[in-house]
Amino acid sequence: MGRVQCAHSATLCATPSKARRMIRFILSRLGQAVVAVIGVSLIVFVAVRASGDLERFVLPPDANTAELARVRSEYGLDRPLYVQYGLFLSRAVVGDFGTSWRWQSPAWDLVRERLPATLELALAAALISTIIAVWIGTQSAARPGSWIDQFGSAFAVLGQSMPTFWVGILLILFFAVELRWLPTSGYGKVSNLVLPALTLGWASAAAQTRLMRSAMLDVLDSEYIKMARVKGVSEFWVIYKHALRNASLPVLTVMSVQWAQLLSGSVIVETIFAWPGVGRTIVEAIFNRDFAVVQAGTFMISVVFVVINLAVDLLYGVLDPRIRLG
Amino acid sequence: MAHDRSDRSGSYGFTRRSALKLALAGSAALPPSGLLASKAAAAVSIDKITIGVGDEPPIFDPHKAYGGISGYFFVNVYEGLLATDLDNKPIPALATKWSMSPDGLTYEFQLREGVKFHTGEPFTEEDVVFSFRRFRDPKVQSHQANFSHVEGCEAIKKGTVRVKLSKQDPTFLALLANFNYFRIASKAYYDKAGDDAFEKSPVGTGPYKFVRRSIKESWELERFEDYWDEKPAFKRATFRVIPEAVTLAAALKTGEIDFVQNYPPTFVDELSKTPGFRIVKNKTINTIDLRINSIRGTDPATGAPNPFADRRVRMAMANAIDKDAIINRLLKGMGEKVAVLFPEDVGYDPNVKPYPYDLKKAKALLAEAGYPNGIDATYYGLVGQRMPMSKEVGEAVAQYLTAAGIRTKVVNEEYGMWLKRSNSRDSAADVSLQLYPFGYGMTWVGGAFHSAFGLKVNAYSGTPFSWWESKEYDTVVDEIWRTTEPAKVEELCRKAAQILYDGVGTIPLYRVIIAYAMKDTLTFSPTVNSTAVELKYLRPV
Repeated sequence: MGRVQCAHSATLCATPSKARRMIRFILSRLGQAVVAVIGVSLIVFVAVRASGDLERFVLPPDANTAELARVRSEYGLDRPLYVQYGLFLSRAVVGDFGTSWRWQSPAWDLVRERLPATLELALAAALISTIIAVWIGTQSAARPGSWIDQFGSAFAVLGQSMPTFWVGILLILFFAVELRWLPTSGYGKVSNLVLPALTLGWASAAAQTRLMRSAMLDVLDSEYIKMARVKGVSEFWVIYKHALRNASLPVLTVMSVQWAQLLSGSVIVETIFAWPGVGRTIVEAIFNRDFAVVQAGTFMISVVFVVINLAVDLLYGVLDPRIRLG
Repeated sequence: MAHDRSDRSGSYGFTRRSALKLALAGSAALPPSGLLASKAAAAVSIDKITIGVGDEPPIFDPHKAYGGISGYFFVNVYEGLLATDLDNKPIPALATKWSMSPDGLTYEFQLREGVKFHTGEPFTEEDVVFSFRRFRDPKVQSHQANFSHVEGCEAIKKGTVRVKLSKQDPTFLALLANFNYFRIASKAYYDKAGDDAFEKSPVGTGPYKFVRRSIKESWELERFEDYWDEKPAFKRATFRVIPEAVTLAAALKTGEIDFVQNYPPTFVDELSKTPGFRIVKNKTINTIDLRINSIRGTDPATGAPNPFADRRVRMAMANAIDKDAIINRLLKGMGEKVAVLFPEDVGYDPNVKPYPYDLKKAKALLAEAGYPNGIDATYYGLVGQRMPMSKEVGEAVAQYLTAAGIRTKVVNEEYGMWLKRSNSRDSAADVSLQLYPFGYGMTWVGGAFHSAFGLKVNAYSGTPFSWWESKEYDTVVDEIWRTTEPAKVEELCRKAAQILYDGVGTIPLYRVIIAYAMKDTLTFSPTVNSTAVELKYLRPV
């Protein structure tokens, strides 16, 4: 019936139909996001418990059996694993991730207080990697075979193959120890942010540079660019106005995923540069079997990650109707 | 020791350690004195000093905390009834005199007069009673084992308290002196501030008072001008938390920090040759021991007799390992051979020498035990920085044992799994033919820094980390713990150590040496409590 009615009034029917599909699309993606977060929490929950007994970390080596049993009971570790996980989920829903045994304070608060530092670092790294990628990628594509192109290719390979901790250490040795331009570590000043952001954005910049270059090469070879050049448009405008906008679409897609990955990359960088963020908090919690903090931290990171991916998914849906209607 | 920040890449992978070595090699190649060495250190100001540490104490409450890491904070802000001098001998602190009843079950402490808390309030006997009572509450302090025999503390008159024990404890005074997380706190302040504020804004009687803290960044202290004893040199002290070893070393080079506790062993040689800096080495209370599963009679997998139950096999292993080579080549001198106890320990006998490296004897002992064709073994090693170079040391030990005929496979594990497996009472560890490296010195466990503790915890039958059993040994240890007369305790500790040595209950490989690095305008006298930086022992030249 609906189709018949719509055939009479396409304009009136199309809008609610599209809206319903869009809502279904959003709900579907939201559902997937929730499943992903629960999946991550389950994996982390099992993994941390399989990697050693918490009570042996809470108590010194000479602790007696009664003390060990009491701590197991105190943290609910004497219950079946599925019961523990059920309790964890029911409490996590209301923001209660338990108490950190090491810090003896709510795990969620410990992680939440560290989030601004991590976001600050990730945003700065995203900015740096984007600027580097756009500049080198466009210049390489505009002048194939030139020194900048060769430099860009070398950077793309090196950037992705050099481990983050290695890059971080080299940057510290050069800019902090030798040149004394920047501090080795710390938090609170812009100068503290430069080296960790550069380190974190390094690999991401390299990946984006390659993509930017190939996307630009495709676009620069298209008919409308040739036409623009024939019409006498300056090279600057050809590249930065006409070509870059179109070439940016596929790159933006990858960039958004890479930005989300910067959050997980901060785990190493925050440790190297003594950055007081979520990543370092998780690393230290893992080594101390601080289950509550590990779970709260990975939950937070996975939620942020999923939210960014969800936003990108929805953006796809807005930009490309085939995705949301498919 | 510092927390685990392991480089757990595969054996042949590109590890962080290899990266660091490359970075260091690269820096050393730069003329004239290397990249890291290119700038001389600046002088320190006595107004302020910045200390670099690899980890931070999570809790500043002296009764809730645990572990050696708390020492970073407590040794400067709080005090106990007793303290230790640089030779690890108990000395007066908040108590000026003490006495023990003839049965060894009652101690009386006369308290120091004129001591003030950082709030300005006077220190009294009520604070001692309060601290004992609060510490003994299992809801406050999870680990009560060391204090389980403390029945109570009462004020018997102004300035005097009495502590009653349910059984004799030859280590009790050492425990009060060394136990970093049993310190005296202010009852009046606790009553006023409440539990949360008590932890967030701690108050003690120590030479420094708490100023502020930023978790994962730093904490700041200020000299307490009303301190009862000699005042330390620096007016303000900031402890910066820098978990990565290379960054910590670099921060010292750039002058961002003045002093580093536990300088990365890889860089010690390089820094000691760099003008403007000073290295102070300290023998720690940790040893790396090899524990051998000699408890089981048979191998559960094959039903064959457990070869390690035979003393001659263990003796062969003790002779098969070249400890000097490990210390000098692998550890670059950051270790010292040890037989059982340290020279400063109660019961140390200089005549008990570490087993020498003698491959021929090792092979002969193995053949004599009935294994001329050798045996197979698995070495469960620990990876990570909890024990510096533990992976490399483990691989070297396996090579030495293999050369003697004990074909040793190395399985490296992260701390959590290793800790679980190394517990002889844990069912998951119930497999035969295993060897473990351990990081607990004979005098360390329990925080008492007394041989009686180590001998009980490390080798007494049935304790979690003992993989050896000897009724004779257990009898002597039991006697130690019924004795309080110091000379008798000394004699019994010597006897127990000899039995352990003769039975090859463990194979101590080396005592860990750590390095403190600082600008050469500073001097530092470390105590045996190596995880702490006692600011009163840090002074400008």
